[in-house]
Amino acid sequence: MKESRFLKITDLMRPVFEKLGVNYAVMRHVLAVKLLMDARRMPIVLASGRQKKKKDSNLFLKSLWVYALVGLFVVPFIFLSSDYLFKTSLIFAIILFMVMTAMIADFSSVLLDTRDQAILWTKPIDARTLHAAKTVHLCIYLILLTGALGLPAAIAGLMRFGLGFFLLFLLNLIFIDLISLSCTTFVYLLVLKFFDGERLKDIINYVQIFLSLAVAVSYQFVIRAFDVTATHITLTPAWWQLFVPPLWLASTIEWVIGGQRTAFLSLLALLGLLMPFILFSIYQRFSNAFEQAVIKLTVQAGKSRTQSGKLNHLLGKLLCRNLEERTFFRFSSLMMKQDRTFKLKVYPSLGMALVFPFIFLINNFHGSSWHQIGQGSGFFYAYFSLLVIPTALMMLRCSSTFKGAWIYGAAPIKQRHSIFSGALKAMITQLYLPAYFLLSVVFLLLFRWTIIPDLVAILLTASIFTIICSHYCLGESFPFSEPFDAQPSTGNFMVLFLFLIAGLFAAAHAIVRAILPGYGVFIYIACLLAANLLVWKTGLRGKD
Amino acid sequence: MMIIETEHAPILSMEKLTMSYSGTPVLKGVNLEVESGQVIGYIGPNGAGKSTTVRILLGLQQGYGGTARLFGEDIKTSGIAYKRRIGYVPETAEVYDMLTAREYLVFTGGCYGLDAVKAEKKGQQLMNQFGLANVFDTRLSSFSKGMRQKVLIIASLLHNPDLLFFDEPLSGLDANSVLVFKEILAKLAETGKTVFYSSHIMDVVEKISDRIVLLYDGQIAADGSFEELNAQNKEGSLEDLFNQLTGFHQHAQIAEDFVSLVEEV
Repeated sequence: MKESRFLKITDLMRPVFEKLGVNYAVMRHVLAVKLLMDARRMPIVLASGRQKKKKDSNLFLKSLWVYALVGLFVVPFIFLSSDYLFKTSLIFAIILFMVMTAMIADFSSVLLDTRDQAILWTKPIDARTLHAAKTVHLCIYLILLTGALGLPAAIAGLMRFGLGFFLLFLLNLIFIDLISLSCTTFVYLLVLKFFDGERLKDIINYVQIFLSLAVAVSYQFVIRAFDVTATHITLTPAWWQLFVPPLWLASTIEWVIGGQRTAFLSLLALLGLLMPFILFSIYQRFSNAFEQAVIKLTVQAGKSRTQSGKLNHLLGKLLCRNLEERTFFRFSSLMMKQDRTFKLKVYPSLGMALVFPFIFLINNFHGSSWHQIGQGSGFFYAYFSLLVIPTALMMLRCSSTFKGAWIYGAAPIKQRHSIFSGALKAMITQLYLPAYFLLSVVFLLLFRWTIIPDLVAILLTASIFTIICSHYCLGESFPFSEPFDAQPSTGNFMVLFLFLIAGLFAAAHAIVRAILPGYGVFIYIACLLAANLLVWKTGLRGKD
Repeated sequence: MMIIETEHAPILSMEKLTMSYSGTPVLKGVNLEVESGQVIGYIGPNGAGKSTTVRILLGLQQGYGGTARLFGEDIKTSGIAYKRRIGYVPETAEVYDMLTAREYLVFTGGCYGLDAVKAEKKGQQLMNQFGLANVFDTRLSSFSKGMRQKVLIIASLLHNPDLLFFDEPLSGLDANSVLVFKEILAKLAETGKTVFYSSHIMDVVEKISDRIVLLYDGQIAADGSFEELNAQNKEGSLEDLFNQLTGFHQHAQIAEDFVSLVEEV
């Protein structure tokens, strides 16, 4: 067995683990296998029978460069002309956001792995050791992740502010890992304690979605904490700031190097120093309880509720041309609604699509009244709802029960493109339309009835946009035919690129409105309608 | 002294074992004692509580009532050391299938405290016996169901355990391998190992078991050797016995209805 380099590093910490009551030899053994398996996460078994051993490559490690690029975008904050507090708060907030999202969407499976239970619990391995193996496994990834995100900024800081800043910054990166790991676990533990069976699995899903949304929104708190005027950026103390981790961390840097030492800032800095350790020791204390609780996830008990889905049947009849397409429309709707991993990967972006328009509205119209907002063209933010489409389509090929995909080959399907068109239509009705309608209702209240044509244009754009995205996101693979892999679902550049295309549509819309006020929108709608017919007719032909 | 003591004490015992999932009782007081060197055929209809019992004994299931003892010690308080003497083939046949057979066997061996070189050598020899020598370095993900099952069986035996839990271990195995495996079971029991064998394939259970325990609706409905059970019930095979004890007689009617439904297109 080829051993991972990471193990050499954990070997150095052996005495620490032993002091914590962990059976190090066993932990190392489990960890070695886990790392080996991660290196093997591979494209599917379907095609390849007994292939030659390819070079083991860890998909996660490959995706690190994406995070490093995000890390580069953070660098300019270092050069902001403000005190340490403001810039590092922003940087830490962004890093914490990215780490938490990755933790929830991509690494939760490590924490809540139920396969471990059947394979490892039946062996003489105690819970503490098992949990330690999990923790180290996660920490390795989290440290790499924060490293990729934070190093560019840290190096820029090293050049600009010297070694002290650099070291403090790195320390805080580790604190970020500790905070996100223990907080996520803690939330899971609570949920695992209070719920049972199928309900538990549902609740976990909702909690994950809620967490990622909360993280996105709480990001706003960091900015709100500061008073930004032309000359000065100052922290205006308020009690709620005591609950914003990036502020704690930034305060330690400000306190040590920046020299601001007001009572409030000292308190924040103290929190920044102590909280990671407190949280982590709580995490450690509950390790046994957590592992016991995870077992509950393997129990299959209770019935899941099934809805009648009358609306879905109706939509299927309306939107689909033939039985084949309708079958796959219904199948895809069910898969999207019931695959928990799928929901976890997609719903957070659904939430963001709902929240972003309002965050932008509020930020841009700082100080103006609702009435003033209603006069403007802020409804263009509804284009943010399109964000759902590329994220969902990126995941559409994946399923936690991807092995069922043999049915595509076994069934006598006449037109293979109806598999795709059915799935795409299902995606629109299941994921896009709810977000769109919710936004539309609120926007109609805000901007009045005059924007109805514009909203119609956005809906038509979404439909065209779906076909465009499907080309880039789905490729040749059938829906639900591949396993979810360790690739991060967030910070994906394909999604960003596609979202820029959506921006082009928004720009076209805006130009038409500017050049031909009044009836221009209707011409635009007519064009979109024609484009829709064309695109849906020809766009999927390649799939046959 | 020690040997005499262990021979008398039951290797496995359950007393008034109860368990319920969110209010629904699954086990309603199961009492069972097993001595070493027996092959126990543990049977029962789906949902009778077979897996739950095994899960409790393996320490996978918390929150049960009553006591479960393995090797004379209450597993609630004995710690994890007892698991070293247990081998387990799960019904779900879960493995880390990104690993090769060699890696997986070395890994499981290691979990039981086996030295890597030794586990590898033993694993390879056992794989050879099952005719899997040429796939020792192939990933389990490309194994057929039967091959995977063989690896699981080998993995459960590497550390020479005293008590074995086999949950549907034959699924996917070809007829020749089944023959070999049945022989292996008998030999294992001869050397004093205890086998807890649960399966739905009645004729296999009938042939290999020294004692048959039938679980029905969370309780033990029958317990004894096949001959004993047969004497009480005047039925032909274990399958018939199973149907009778679980109160199932309508199979002919159901089959008829089923096929007539198939014919209606």
